[in-house]
Amino acid sequence: MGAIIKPDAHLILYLPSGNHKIVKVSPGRKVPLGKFGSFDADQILGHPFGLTYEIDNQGCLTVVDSLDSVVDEATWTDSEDNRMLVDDPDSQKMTMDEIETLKKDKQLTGQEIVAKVIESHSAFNKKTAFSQEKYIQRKAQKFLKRFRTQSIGSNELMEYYNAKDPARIMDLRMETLGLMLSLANVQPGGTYLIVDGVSSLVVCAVLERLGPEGQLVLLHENEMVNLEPLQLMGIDLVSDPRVKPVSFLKFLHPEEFRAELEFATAPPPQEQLDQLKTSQRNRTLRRYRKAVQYKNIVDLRNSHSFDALLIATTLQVSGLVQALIPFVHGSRSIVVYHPCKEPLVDLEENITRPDNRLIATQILESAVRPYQSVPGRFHPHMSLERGGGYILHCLRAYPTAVQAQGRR
Amino acid sequence: MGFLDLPNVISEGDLVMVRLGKSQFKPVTMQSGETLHTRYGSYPHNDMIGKPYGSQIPAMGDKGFVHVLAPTPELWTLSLPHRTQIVYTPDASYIVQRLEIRPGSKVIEAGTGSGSFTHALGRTVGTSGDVWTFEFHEVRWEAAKVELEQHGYKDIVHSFYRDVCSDGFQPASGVHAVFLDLPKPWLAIPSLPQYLELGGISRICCFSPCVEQVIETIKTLKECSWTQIETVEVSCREWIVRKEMRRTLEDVLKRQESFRERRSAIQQRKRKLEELEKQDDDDDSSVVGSPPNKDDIPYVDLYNPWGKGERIVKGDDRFQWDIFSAGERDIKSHTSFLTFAVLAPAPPKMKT
Repeated sequence: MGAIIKPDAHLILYLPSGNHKIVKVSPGRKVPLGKFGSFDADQILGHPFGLTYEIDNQGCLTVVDSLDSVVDEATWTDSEDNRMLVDDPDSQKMTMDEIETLKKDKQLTGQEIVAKVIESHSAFNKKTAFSQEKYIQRKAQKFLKRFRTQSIGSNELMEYYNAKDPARIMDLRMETLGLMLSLANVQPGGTYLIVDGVSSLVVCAVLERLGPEGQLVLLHENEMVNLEPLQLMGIDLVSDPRVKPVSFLKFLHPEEFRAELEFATAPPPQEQLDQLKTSQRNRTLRRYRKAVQYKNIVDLRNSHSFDALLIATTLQVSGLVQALIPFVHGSRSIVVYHPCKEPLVDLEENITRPDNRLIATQILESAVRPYQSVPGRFHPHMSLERGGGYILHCLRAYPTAVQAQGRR
Repeated sequence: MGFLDLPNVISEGDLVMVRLGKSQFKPVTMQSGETLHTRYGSYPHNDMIGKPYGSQIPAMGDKGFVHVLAPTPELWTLSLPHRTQIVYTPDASYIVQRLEIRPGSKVIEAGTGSGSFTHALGRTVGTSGDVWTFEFHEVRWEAAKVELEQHGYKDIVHSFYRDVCSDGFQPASGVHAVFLDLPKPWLAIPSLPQYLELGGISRICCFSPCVEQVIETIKTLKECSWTQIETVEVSCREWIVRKEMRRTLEDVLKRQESFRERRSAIQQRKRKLEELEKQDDDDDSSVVGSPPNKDDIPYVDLYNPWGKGERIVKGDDRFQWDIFSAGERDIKSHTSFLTFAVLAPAPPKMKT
């Protein structure tokens, strides 16, 4: 059996309009859907993800096969071509108010409204079959009250931010994220070093590929790491033991935190703990656990053997990469994403190429072009979202002292 | 050591990717006593065994060097023996991400081809997952199977010599993701549901170079209740960083000014020479004053801000340099169309 919708799960709901909405489904609670009304969460709890539902005016759900399919009881005729079709704004005889009345007072379903709208189009039979289908689909997207459920992973997160505020993920796109993960050779059991300025999207994507044994050290630029926002979407990075956040300062300069590292070497003695008040004891134990985690990160750092360095940040990348080169193991990848090419050109020219600890630098730009994928009408879309950004990829090497000079 | 072990140090028997040029990699199995001979010198395996991966290895006799790298599906893709057209990394990485292939995923691949994408699939599903891969060409099947086993995918990738269009996908079961790189994927699509995960979402990607194939595929997917059908193309371009000498308008003007100065100097000299010659003709008797001397005439150096006439190495610090990038000239503008679709789980009974 595949994954099912558990109580209190977060899901993303896709709507016929192409929009989506993140909701939490709790037993006995209603899930609000804006102009669609609402439905009882209990109706979908225990269901697999990926089903499409239609919601009626009472909030009852039925499973349907897709977001925009309309039952085809074609009673209309079509035309070979559009020679008889005259552009006339009055060909639709129904007004917006009348449609509203159908919805509110007569309680018609989305499908029934679509049928009425077609019925009252005076020139519908002058359209070609293709054009009729397109018209129906447009009306379906407008009037059908349907949604499809999906669990939230890196792809859904990316779609969500892409619609809401692409700057928060630095315009990162699926083809580019996928390429980063492949070039970094992210695989179960690996240990990765990450700088994530894209709302933890890279962290999420790496975690999905990590399996239970892998781990990642997440470098952050603030006083405290902020992993909470994803909690609102049911992605718990805070208590995931594979995620090891640390500030740049503590990572790059552990010598300034000797006291904490020493504190981690042995658990506080029991007799000492016994003398403390409960709150103090808990604080001491918490401090000890944090110190142990920090020591663990410093040990990883000192082994200079990260299985890849992945960077997506608005920090200046040249200096950042230069500072982090030593911690990456030989033959492993450094992968840097940026929405603009210039920072990566600077990185290649001034850091990765002149430095013989790095080889095989390349800057790549990957872009996906979608097609209108309808039988009989296969063609490129008229407009295209471009701008998948750029990736710099290089490999860590160990130069031989004498040989390497002047030979790159 | 296999691809999945993320090894640190080179051991006897390891498959090592030797980097010979920019994107030229040679897979070499380490055997002490053996030597790798290349255009860039000879390298005894004993010089590599025991070194950490990523090491630079000097050639015997000190002529050149190579880097010894750990194998990854991506490096393998660049170096593998091509038995068929292969799925390159920009396509492969996008397919894995879009099909939501993860550790533990159960995946069908048909056909295996050269096994390039099979390596990437095996890497991502890991030891908790399964890849069932099918190939109808016996020699190709055998070759890929041997490679995959040698590369440490024995327990993850299950290879079968079979035409899936007629004979199905047994023993695959509980499958989440399907990748079809077949001449006629529409013949294999109808039998798929029985192998898919019960009550789960299944995703498919059909890889076809021709529009005709795409159209037939979309039609069949639709008939077989697959939804969210979308065909895309991935294009990937490399950007080459270039250094160009900065040549400014100010320098052009100064240089042209110096052309003018030189021209008038030459004319002056010409006039002077003519004058001297005239004097010579007029005055045959004793010479008065200094004899005619070409060196007395001023010579004007051209303003040469860009080292014209010299051999200049890029980055020479007597000049200013700008850093630019240009797209590579030959791009793979079309590999294949990727047709994606999703099959929803069977609906459960609704609570009322």
